This record gives sequence, C-alpha cells and structure tokens, in this order.
Amino acid sequence: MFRKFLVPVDGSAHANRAVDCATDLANKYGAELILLHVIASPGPARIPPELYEYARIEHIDAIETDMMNRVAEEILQTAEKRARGQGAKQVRTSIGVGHPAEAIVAHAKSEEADLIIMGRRGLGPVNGLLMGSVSHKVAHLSECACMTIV
Amino acid sequence: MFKHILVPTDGSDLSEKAVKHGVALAKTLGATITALTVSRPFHVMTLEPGMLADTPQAYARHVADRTKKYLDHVSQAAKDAGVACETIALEHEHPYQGIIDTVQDKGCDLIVMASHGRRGMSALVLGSETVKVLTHGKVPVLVCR
Repeated sequence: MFRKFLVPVDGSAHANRAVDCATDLANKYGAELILLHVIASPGPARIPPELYEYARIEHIDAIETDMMNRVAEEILQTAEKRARGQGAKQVRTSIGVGHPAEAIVAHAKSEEADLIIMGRRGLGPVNGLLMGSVSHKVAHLSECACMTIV
Repeated sequence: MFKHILVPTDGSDLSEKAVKHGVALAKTLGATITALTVSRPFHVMTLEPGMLADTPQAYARHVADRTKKYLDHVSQAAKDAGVACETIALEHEHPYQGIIDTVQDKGCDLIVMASHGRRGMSALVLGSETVKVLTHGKVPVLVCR
C-alpha cells in the first residue's frame, strides 16, 4: 500500500515524533523514508530558489545562506540518525527552499511519495497555537494521503 | 504503534476509500478497528432536505437504515480482511465532536478519515469536519484522498 514516505522535519519535538512514527510504519511496509527540511525564504521579499543557488555559488551573502544550510544539514543528520537508530533501512535526506507548505507539497509530488507524515505543530510561534499553519496547509494542499502526528 | 484505529464514515465514496485504507492499515499493524457514523439530531427548523421532508419518526428510521448500511459495509470489509471490528452509531449535533468523543471513550490511537465527506465540493480544500478533527483531535489523523 505504501512505498515512499515524506517526513518534513524542523528539529521540533513534534517532528521527532513524526520521524519515530514514520520509521515504525516504514519498517512494517518496507517503505523508503525521505526526510525533508525546508529553509523558509525570508519575509515578504521572497528570494526565488534559483537566486538562492546563485548566491550560494557566487558567495553573495554567503554568511546567511551558509548558516541556514548548516542548520538544515544538522537537523537532517539528527533526524536520519534517529530513524536509522530505530531500524530504518532506506533513508534519504533533502533540503528544500521556499515557502514550507508549498515546498513540502511540491516535494511530495516530484518524489511521488504516497504518504506525508508530519508533526502537527513545528517550531512556529503563535500561529501554531491551534494547529501549525504549515501542517494545516499541507493537509489541505497535498495530493497524497497525509498523517499528522500529535 | 497504532493498536486501535477509528474509522468514521458517512457512506460517501471518499469515506469508502478511507475505510479500505483503514482496514488495510489495521491488517498490517495488527490493530483493531472501530467504525463510527455520526448522525445529526432531527430539527424542525432546518435546510437539510432529509429533515424537511420527514417526520421525526421517518427521519429516525431513515437514519437507522443508512447507519446500518454504512456500518455493515465496514464490518464486512474488516471481516474479509480478518480484522476485529466494532461499530458505533452516534447522534451528535457536531459530527467532529462525536468523533473526538469516541476517540476518548474507546481509547483509539489513530483516526483514518477521508479528506471530504458527503458535502465535499472541491478537491483542493479539506472538508469542514475533517479540518475540525485535525484541529481539535488529540490523536494522530491520517487523511485519505
């Protein structure tokens, strides 16, 4: 039934629980895990992903970009270690850039994932009080099944 | 992992799909299933065609018939898959609250439900009951499409 799980992570406790749950399910189904961290592009002046790549290559504003990338890698490594520690066999990591919900949905589509497993609340501040706005949007927009972990 | 899966259904095509998913998942995980339908109580002042045309007695009879049909369908699917299944029919003004209450009463640890029910209009946004369950529920929810 399930072959490929997409698990968006941001290092929060909710995301960790999603990793645990996804690992458990993946072991049962023999499914592949794709851990995704999305670097949110700043504020209203959204930098297009191509420009991000350009900045990285040309070392323009390298400090911010590099820091964000380092953080992303750290979060993904921690999540991967966590998943492998619980017996996950096939794990891949991926960094996305852009609006988190949109990037997650687009990634699920391009990877042809058949289930998105995510924490209900991430690190977001007040707007996450009822339900994290990212998980809310993903649940709305995703074309595949979506599981929110509490 | 998940031991007790709640599958709310309203008999719509999409929720049939959720039932299939739920049963398959329960089989893989060795979990039991509780199937639930929540019907709304009879109101005299209403815009729902079913309630407008019926007397309270006829409405109750129709609801009972429908509920039985939906729940029988789930228990048959569960039986075919060899999964233990309990069925519950509830009456509640707000279906999502009925779902959340049942989760608590029965100690379910996962809800498998459709992205839309009978009132689903668009493929883009979630149905209103699904959103409310996602927002107010205290257990993980698997939304099927």
